[in-house]
Amino acid sequence: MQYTFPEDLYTDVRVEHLFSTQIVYTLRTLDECKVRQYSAAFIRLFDGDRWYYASTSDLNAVQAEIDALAKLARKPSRFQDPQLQDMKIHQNFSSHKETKLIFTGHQVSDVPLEDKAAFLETLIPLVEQNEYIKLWRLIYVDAYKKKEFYNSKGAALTWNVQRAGYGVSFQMADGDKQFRESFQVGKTRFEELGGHEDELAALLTECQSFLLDSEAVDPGLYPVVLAPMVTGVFTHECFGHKSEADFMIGDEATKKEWVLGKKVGPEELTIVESGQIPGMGYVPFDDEGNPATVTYLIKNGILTGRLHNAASAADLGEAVTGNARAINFEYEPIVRMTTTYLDNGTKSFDQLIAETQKGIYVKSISHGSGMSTFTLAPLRAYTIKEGKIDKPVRISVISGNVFESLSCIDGIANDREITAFVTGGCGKMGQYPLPVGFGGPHIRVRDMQIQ
Amino acid sequence: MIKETYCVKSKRTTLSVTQNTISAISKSDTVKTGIRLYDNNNGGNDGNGGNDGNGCNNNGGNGCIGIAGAIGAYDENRLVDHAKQMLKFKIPYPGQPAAEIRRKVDLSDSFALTEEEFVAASEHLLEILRQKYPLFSFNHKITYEEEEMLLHNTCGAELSYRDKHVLVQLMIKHRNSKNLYDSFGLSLTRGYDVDDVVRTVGETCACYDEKVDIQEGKMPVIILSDHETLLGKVSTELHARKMGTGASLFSEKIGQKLFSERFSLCVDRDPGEFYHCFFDAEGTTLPGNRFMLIENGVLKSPYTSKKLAHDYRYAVTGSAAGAYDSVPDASGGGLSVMDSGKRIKELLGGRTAVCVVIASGGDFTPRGEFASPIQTAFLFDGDRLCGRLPQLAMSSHVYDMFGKDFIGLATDGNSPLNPFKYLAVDMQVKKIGDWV
Repeated sequence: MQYTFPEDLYTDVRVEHLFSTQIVYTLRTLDECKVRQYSAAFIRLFDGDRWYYASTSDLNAVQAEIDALAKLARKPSRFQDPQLQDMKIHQNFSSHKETKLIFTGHQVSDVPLEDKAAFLETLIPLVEQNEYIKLWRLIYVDAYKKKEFYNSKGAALTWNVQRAGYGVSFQMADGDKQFRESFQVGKTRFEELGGHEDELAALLTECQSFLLDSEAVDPGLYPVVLAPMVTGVFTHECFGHKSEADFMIGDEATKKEWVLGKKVGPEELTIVESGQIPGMGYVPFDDEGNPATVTYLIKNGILTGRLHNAASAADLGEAVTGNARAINFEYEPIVRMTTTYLDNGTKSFDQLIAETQKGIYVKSISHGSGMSTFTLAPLRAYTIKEGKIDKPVRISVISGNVFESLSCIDGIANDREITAFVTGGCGKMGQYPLPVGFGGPHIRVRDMQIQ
Repeated sequence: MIKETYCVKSKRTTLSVTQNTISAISKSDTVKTGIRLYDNNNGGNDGNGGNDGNGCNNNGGNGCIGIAGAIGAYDENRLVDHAKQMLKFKIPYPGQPAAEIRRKVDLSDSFALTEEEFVAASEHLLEILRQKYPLFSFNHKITYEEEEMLLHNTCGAELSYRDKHVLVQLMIKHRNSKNLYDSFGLSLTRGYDVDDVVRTVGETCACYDEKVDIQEGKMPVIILSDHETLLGKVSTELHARKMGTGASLFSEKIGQKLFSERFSLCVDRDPGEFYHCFFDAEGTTLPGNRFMLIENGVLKSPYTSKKLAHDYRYAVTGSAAGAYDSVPDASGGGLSVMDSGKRIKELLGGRTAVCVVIASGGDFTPRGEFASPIQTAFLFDGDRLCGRLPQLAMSSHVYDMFGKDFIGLATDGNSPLNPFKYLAVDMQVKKIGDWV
């Protein structure tokens, strides 16, 4: 693709070609069967002071959009000293030239829609056989996206990303007793989706017990053992978003609070972020054309890194990390996570439980959030009594202080798993859902507020 | 075969705000179109898709739908062919498409701003905020959007809605704070009254440094804009599919008085008051733009799409929603509490209240127990915010919140230009931390 970029301004063009599928069965009825395909572009232009954006679904109109934005930006008062080319942010813009198409030949667009629907139908008997399930829904989703990136520094990149997966959500009821849960499998290729039927069957059995036997929790402060998926959400919400450096631009208090080198957790605590890991968070190049890196956010309890786009890296005087991401062609890239995980410790899950006299084990959650107070909304949770998992309990919300919680981690197991919510994703600044990976091992956190 | 076109147009200028200044100007002009084909023969009922010759009536509950969508310009013949291909998957659509209805609502001429005027007004707004509240930074977005929704079909339906608004969403951060943000300013208006925005957005800044405390226990909690925080469970449980399958807390309880006499809930499609389209994604319009789901505490109906109304024998409530290329499904998006006819001061009756600005991450258990942390709250005396409260948590049960502890929806909010009104409920409030 050849574009004429205006002189003395920075310009980039991100083209995306999308193929996606969504199939939904509810109680045996096909509710949705949708294929979406489009090609579209997002254009950015920077005059040294302000950004100008436009999006278009007409690829023949990209040059016209560039020219129109250039007219908006070409205001002499906007040019500052130093010249744009000398600015740190300009140095952070990509000049890479590369093609990385790892999904070519394995594209979900090559799998017939009938095969995808048929795969989903194989799960129906499993869900239907449980007498307490009153409402169930099966969702298959896939998305293949080929991206191209060009900018006025000469960058020329082509890469592809892909995801395929399914979710089973179900609602159990027995009189006034209600319980809902879901099961998700997220991969990068359609042919990898099979073979999880036993896990689903075991989950249904466990949920039935939970429906019939769960009790309301006694509110209070407890040590809480988190399952790997929950650890992943905890890491993402409680710490991951704080490491996104766009929030720090021009904010001295935040910079001071999150200064690199600060001890924020126990010696055993390491949190890693990487767009190179296969899965939902695989992002070989970010939406500014910078390659994915491996970033140690916390190493041995010490704050060692954070996530950047070109602007935040320039503001903080650090290196770009390949974390500028947009959910689609209608949005500008902002600093986002890719795959974020808490690394393995040395204990076993059994040790974590055995060391806990009175606590809570959280096996699954419906959502989490992280501001000054972070939250986790448990679905399956159990009391821990005298070193053993005891009774199922219903909990509305678990909360804790973001600034203290990492130092409250007092046990990390060695059974790390990396997963993703394939039917959802991460939300930030109105951009939802963005595919991300997250994970970790079982961990134990002291003094969490249970309600 | 019936052909229907559903189109969503949006023309938008969005200003990104970083540290009180406009850091980016974004322009978008999108048109998203879905072509829907309804095949009444596909289910094989009566051979001609109905009794009126064009398939617009009486599909006997066996019709199917095929949809194809496009962003931007499209070739109609190709889209129709794609929709025809999708019909072979036999997605059931037992409802009747909208027929013989023509209605146009255009609220977009209530004000006009050029892009230059919008940018200049926003720069002026940010300058005032910067001068008036120097200890705070303001970040996020200011959007000027003109939107249009169109639905027309071969059954004589021709519906269009056009509106225009300015949406100010500013995350507010105290300069000494370690938080990502400490408060939130929101304004949604037809027009751009900078002074009103300054007053509503700056309301929490004016008393932020005034730290006040409360006694733990049951007390009024009020929420201005995000009623979903409290209404979420009612909304979820009123979905027709949940109700109809027995999976809802409210299943088998239609006609029962479950809530307070003062609590009434409706599907509200009044575009004038609520800034949303007067027809739903299936082209359903409502008499008086309103359908009562809970009336004086009595459960009347779940909210439905046409399909769910047919499947479970409920009324059609005008609650279908979905993307331009999706099969419409019931959504609780347009639910609205009927106001009490009283201002918030009268509702509180001299009591002070916890005014929740940010309550993120809470939830209901499947059985209706509710708990949520309150990240940012202020003490409210019925007239104004009096000071910032420490970190709190609130808890209750859905039947208590809208039953014995329901206070009401006020007729007023913090601005006469905004659609947001105070919703007040008595809840257990507990301190969980200091002032951050």
